[in-house]
Amino acid sequence: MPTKQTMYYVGFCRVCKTGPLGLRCCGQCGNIVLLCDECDAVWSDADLAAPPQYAQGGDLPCPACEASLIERPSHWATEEQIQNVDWLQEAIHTGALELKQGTAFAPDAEDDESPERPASGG
Amino acid sequence: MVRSGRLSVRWLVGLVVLAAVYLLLQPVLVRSLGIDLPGLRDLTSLVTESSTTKRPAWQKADAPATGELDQILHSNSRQTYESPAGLRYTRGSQHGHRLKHLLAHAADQADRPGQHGVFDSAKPEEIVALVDEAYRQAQAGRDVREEREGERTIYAVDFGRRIGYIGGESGNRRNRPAARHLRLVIEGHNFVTAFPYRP
Ligand SMILES: [Zn+2]
Ligand SMILES: [Zn+2]
Repeated sequence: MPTKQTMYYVGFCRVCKTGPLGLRCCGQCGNIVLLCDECDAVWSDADLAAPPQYAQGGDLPCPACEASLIERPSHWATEEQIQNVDWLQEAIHTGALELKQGTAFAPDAEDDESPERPASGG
Repeated sequence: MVRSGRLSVRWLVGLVVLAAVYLLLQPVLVRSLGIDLPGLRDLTSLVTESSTTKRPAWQKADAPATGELDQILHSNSRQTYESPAGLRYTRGSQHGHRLKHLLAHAADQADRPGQHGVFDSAKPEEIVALVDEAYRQAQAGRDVREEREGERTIYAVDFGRRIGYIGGESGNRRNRPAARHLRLVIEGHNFVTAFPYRP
């Protein structure tokens, strides 16, 4: 069974209406975006009414530096990283976004060298 | 008339003569009587259809190829898979491949925030066939609601029968309610995600 990962999230995606909007940190430039854990829609700031960015050619480029937001070293943002993002702190303080902690859907894609199989039993 | 599984020669000749007479008279009868009689092609297709009805419902002639699915699901292959209905499953998503992402909905993840739709079936070929069924139903405009979001199309397809349940934190709090709808997100012919849900 893949290791479970903690993910901070701020509500749910309006595109697929299901995925939690996780706070994803770009491994190259440190930029933090809102990434839907289900359909991979990306928002660069707290304006969730704006059109999201989608994957291109199977990958999801960081809006700031174009490095992959899916592949390592990109990761779910830590509490400390979140505290350093002004627009995020402002949105949380004004109540525009509510910060919660949960479990991510998928493991990091590059973690699974072994074939991925459904968990057997329990 | 049937002896050890074979027709006698006399019966065989009789049948051929009858068929020839029918084929000659069929167009004349259709014209003069105004009734719809099956032609040779219709009769042939009847025989072909009846010979495939022993398969399970999902296993149509254009059922997903199990070997191809297994190859992608149990390796790090990034090859594109195209379903019988024409949906393209490419590499992408945090699962590495859209097909793996879809199959992650074959099991519950009780601690996932919100709702996590889970298919009743855990078989890749059955789940891909179910998504194909939804895609075809959506294209035909039957029991479907459609939304656009940029280049994406989001379908909400009502199957009229149970296809799965709602798991995740929210679903497990409510005793995993049954789901008969499928939400399908695509970009053109490219599959993004699909999962059972309750409206
Ligand atoms: Zn989404
Ligand atoms: Zn970046």
